[in-house]
Amino acid sequence: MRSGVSSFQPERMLQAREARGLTQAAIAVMTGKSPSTVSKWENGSQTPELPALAALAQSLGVPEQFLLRPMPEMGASPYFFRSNQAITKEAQSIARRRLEWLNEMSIALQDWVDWPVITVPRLGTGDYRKLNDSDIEDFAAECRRQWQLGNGPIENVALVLENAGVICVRESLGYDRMDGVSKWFATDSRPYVFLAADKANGIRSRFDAAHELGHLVMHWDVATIDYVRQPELERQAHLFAAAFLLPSETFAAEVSSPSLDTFLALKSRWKVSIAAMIMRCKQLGIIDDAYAVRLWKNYSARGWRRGEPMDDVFPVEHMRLIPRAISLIVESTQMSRLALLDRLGLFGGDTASLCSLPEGYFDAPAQLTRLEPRVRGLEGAAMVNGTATVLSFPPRR
Amino acid sequence: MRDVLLSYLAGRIPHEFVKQLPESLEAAYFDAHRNAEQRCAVPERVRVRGQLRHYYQNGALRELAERFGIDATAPHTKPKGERYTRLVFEDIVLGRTGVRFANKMPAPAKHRKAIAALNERFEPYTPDLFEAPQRHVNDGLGVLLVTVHPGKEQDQSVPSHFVVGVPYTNLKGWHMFEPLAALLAAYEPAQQLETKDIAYPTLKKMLRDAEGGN
Repeated sequence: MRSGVSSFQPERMLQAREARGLTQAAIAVMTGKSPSTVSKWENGSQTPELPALAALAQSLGVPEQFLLRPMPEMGASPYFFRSNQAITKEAQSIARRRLEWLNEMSIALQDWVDWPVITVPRLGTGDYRKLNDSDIEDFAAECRRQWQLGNGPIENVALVLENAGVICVRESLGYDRMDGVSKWFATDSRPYVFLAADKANGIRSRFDAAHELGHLVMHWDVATIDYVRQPELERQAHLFAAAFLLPSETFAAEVSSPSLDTFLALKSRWKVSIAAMIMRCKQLGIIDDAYAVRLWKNYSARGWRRGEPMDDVFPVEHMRLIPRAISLIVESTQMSRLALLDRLGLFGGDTASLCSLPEGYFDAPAQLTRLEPRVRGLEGAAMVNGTATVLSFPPRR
Repeated sequence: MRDVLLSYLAGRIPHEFVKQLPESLEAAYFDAHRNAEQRCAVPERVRVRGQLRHYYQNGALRELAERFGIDATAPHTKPKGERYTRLVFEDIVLGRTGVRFANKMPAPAKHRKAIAALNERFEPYTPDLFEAPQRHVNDGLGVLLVTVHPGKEQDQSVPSHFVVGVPYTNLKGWHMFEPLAALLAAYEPAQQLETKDIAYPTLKKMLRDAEGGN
């Protein structure tokens, strides 16, 4: 028999729990309830009482109202995870759930603002298995042509995505093998990209963004992903990213002599890792397998597997679209930050992070306490505005 | 001084030659390793490999230079000493050497000292006030292309780094000691390419109308 808060949404509980990477057992401990009760809340066979709802919301780090809000229909299109295959399901769930939250915030913000028109081309219609490498090179070139990027290095990949109407976020997940996730959401028919910030590597993050763009451009009609399909989808997105960042004609012309020192010199120009350049040279037939092996050996010998030179020179690209929207809303509608936060549905920390805002952006302004001036020895002395009392220094001993 | 020297070198040494340097030297390095492995027993191998590396790379450097029409010779050291590789680019004289992984300084061979002597004008000089100036300042720049060998535990078929160095005249330090990549980068300064910024949301029209009151 159901009891408790009737508008409780079990899907919300599941969403928040996965976003936090918590198990039902952990929630049970945090709320002081039995694991079976928590399980029943989550599968919808029971709803929590009001005090339990408050405890649950606190353990999940979300407002109570969040657990009462129905889940929107996110659409059946798959989430494309760019990650090491050894990554845990948990990391994928966190990234996925936070991308969903980003989508909901974006929809809430669309009550006030219009996002840029989506100009991400949907290429590769049909069966992705029939795509060959030449098609993928053409798709990357088509994106560059459509966005008038020329054939040289791309200064800011995140900005290219946002210009094309993609809503992006970069956050730390706590899993350094997780790189990103993307999806076309049915809620507003718009593409969203989540980039993991855990590696704190601007060069790597650019490649991740280009990789996710590849999924959005080529795999928008893929219905489901399984273990059999995933490697090929990932390979295609990888090739797209390489072709997008290092176009065959211009890049090949600059690598007449492929050596690690040449790549290192080109890194500051193309803002692509040396590892990606070696792979690209192999894709383009500039180097053969034997030479690639030699380059990789040399790469390892230089200790670059642990980190390439200049990785820390290039800053991570910052997102601009959502911060600009928030600023526009706050300035144009006289709405306070706290009122806006209430409309966005999560606590300030999550909201600021997902909206690429500075930490503490939604914190309530500090209460200023006015301190009365007090001069020792002059208590009770009449102070007249516009006058000053000269205090002499005590005599030196 | 680093930037000045790098741009001076980039202005006189052909870009294409520098781009092909690592590949040529790495190939020679690999051949040296392979031949030492194939032809020498373990006790002799390390010694032979070191010598093969040196002479194979010297040969590869001259061969590459000749392909680009660069003045490349293997003169005898004067006073009497072994032959060494010497490339000339206008007033720059380039030689080559190798150093161990943990050691930046090459052995002070006479021919290397002769190249380093060209850098005298970069070094401080205290004149003797009671005698006529003795110092004769050379024109030119002496440069050494340095192959840094891999550490003992690492793969011996590939060098660790290539470095371009401008040595002190006494070969006890460097006026400049930069990876070859830095010289390559000096030919192509990083370009600042701007991505057009059109990532701006717009206020919804009805909201603007309501706020504007008309």
